[in-house]
Amino acid sequence: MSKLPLEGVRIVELTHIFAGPYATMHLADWGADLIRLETIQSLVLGTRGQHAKVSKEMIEQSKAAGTGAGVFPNWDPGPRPWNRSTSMTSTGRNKKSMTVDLLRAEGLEILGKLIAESDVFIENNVPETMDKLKITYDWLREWNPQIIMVRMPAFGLSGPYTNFRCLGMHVDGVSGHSFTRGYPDEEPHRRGETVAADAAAGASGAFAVMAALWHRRRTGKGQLIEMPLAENFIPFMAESIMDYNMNGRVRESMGNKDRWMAPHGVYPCRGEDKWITLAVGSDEEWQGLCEVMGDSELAVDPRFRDADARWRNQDALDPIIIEWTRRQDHREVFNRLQARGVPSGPILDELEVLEDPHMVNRGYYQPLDHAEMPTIKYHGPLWSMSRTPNPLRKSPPLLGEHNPYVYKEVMGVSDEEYARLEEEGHIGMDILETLSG
Amino acid sequence: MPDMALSDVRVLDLTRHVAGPYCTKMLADYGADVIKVERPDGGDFTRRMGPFPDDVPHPEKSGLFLHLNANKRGVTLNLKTAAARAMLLELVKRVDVVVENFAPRVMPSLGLAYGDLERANPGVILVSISNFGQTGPYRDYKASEIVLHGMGGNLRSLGLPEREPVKYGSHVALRQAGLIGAAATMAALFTRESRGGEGEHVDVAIVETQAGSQDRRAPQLMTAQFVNQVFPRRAPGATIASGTFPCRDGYVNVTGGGNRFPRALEMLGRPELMEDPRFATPESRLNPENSEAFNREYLMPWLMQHTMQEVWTLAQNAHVLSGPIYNSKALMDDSHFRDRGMWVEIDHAVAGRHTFPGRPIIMGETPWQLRRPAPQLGEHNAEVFGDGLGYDSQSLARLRGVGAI
Repeated sequence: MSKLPLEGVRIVELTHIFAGPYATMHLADWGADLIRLETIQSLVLGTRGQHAKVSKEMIEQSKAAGTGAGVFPNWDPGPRPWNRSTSMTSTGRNKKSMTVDLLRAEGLEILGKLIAESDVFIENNVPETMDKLKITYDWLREWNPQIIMVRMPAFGLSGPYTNFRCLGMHVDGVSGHSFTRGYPDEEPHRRGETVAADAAAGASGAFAVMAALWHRRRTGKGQLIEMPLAENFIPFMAESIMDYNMNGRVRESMGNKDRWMAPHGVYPCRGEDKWITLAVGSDEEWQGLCEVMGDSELAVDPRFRDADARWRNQDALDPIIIEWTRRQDHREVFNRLQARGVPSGPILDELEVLEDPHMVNRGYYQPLDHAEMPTIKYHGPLWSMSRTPNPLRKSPPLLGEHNPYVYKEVMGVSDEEYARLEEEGHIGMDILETLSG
Repeated sequence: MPDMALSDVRVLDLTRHVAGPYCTKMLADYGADVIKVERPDGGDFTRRMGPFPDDVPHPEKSGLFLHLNANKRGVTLNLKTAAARAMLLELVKRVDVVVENFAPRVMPSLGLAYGDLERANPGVILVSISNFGQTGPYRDYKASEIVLHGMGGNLRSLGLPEREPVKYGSHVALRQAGLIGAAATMAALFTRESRGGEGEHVDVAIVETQAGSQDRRAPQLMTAQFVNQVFPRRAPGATIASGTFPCRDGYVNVTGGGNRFPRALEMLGRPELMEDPRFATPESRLNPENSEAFNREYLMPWLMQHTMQEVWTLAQNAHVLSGPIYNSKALMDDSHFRDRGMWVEIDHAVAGRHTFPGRPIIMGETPWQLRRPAPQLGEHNAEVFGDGLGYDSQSLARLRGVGAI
């Protein structure tokens, strides 16, 4: 049996919300001994939910708001809501959790001892937070000269925005993404937010860790990696940036339209909030669409005779297509379109994509049992390897679940010492404010 | 020249368009020797996509192509000819990794399935990036950015509840997949080492990189299972002190709800509103009527009195999360990114000198370097086939004559 690529690599993370935990999800999936640093002193906002105590009234308000925020399994936060949050659930699998109070000198020393046994430290905090904790690259190197440190703040370790706090959606705004997406006929605040920068940072963060490990195995040298979310995401906007730099043109949103293809976009189907996408470029694809529509007149309509004509006349074309798509089932018509080589796909909601026959066939979703949650399906690793099978191993960790492993096995802490650290509020599985009433 | 992280990695790059080239761009940017293979008749489609200086199309002047392919060398091969396929297999013997993003049937149909590559070089890693992956019922289906974003990704959740979903800008989903491909390549380099040099075939399905993406899609897969229901697209401004709003000179996004609400009141200079029963408790603030009233009566009028930069700074001072909605001009004008060295000028023999986005990641010991601009079509044929494979100039002329290169 093949070893997983990162087996034997120990990674310590102090990450929150989406970007950092997503980067380490890939690393944990592919075999790293991934240890999350957490605390029982108070709830750290985001990754383990918004509130340590969740009242019945808050649940009722979340239900009434109907936005998908504040959701727990079966609308029940349980006695430890931090173990049942969506954010932790979606990135936590295959990871371990330890607790330590880093605001105390003793906690910092515990971290140092762990760093001595580790290969990588990764974090996505505002730089001033790390300064306050006194966790710097130089400090880590005192404990482990070969350590690799990856820092993922929003705007970098220098410059006027270095300590600006934000979420992925604000990075999407600053990077120029929010401006270039949305409805061309609505104002920019009428489009809703995206957090694509978080996803980009997660993938790049995993790449950066592995590139540094690859270099270290050859040279023995660790390093400090700075990966600001904004600067990692800005290159995604290359087309609009280059149009500005080359031509002084500020690109606006094209909505669902394309610069070359037509028909192209989102078309309504039968039922509530059901849609299909079309991305028709070539004449063959166009003839395929006309055939599935059963519209032989459309196939010879001179307004749509070639790609250029279809693009110029797309405003006349779209209503004709919508008139037809409205009568179709989004998943059924997709297979008929694809059978004729038409690039198209149903817009799938979450429950639909979990049942999608293709992804189910590929074994993409895998159920995992969890001590404080129902068994649910988790998506698999984001790629697969022919000689390195990699089923998911372990559901997301409970807060502090792996304290015995980290303290005793990794750091060699004695039973007496472990009991003392438990007594003094470093080690535990319950957030202290919920115990004090 | 300082050492680079991937200086010892050689990559044969058969990719085109956006997803594959973004993967090999990451590898090239951090030191790998990447040889990009293009078809002789016109090359990569992105050469025709632009933007072009002065809007005049030219295959060597496409801003998209020049950005995606800097730091790579370029050769041409017409893989439909036997001569070119033989040359390709010669190159396969000399590399660690082959990356391709054809439809899954293409490589086997050219006699270039993983097994064929492996016979030429048992250590070679093949990274395949495709729409739906190398297996499964949709394997041969056709797709594009919007199709994959809609099927795997979070497209259904983006936009106004009363309108059609509206996609990401640009090619965000394809670039995400390219980054995943770069991480996957690194993973395969490690497994090859632990297996004593035996390569393997890596399968990146873009639809799966979308379904597992942390751009809210993956958390929503959890949420949907928690309560066996899906939620509508979120109306902008539906939560308290949060959303994108107009301000004096543009638009800003503010996130000041939840536990941050007292700080939002501080930002507005209205701490007394904490006494207003509509906003006094976490529960009352979750009430949609109350949050809508707060945004309309207090937040939006305040925002209209301030510029994007003022809102951003005042919000940060109060520890309220916020950011402006920049367009490309505002982004290029911003001194933070300029002074940090985000932009890099690249000289290109045909396209001239232009400013591009530079390094995405700052690696302290092994920094990003601009080693060469994007290749002209077939620019390195003589170097790669001649010096590298030992073809003399007569043979290369003959191969050109028969359309192989």
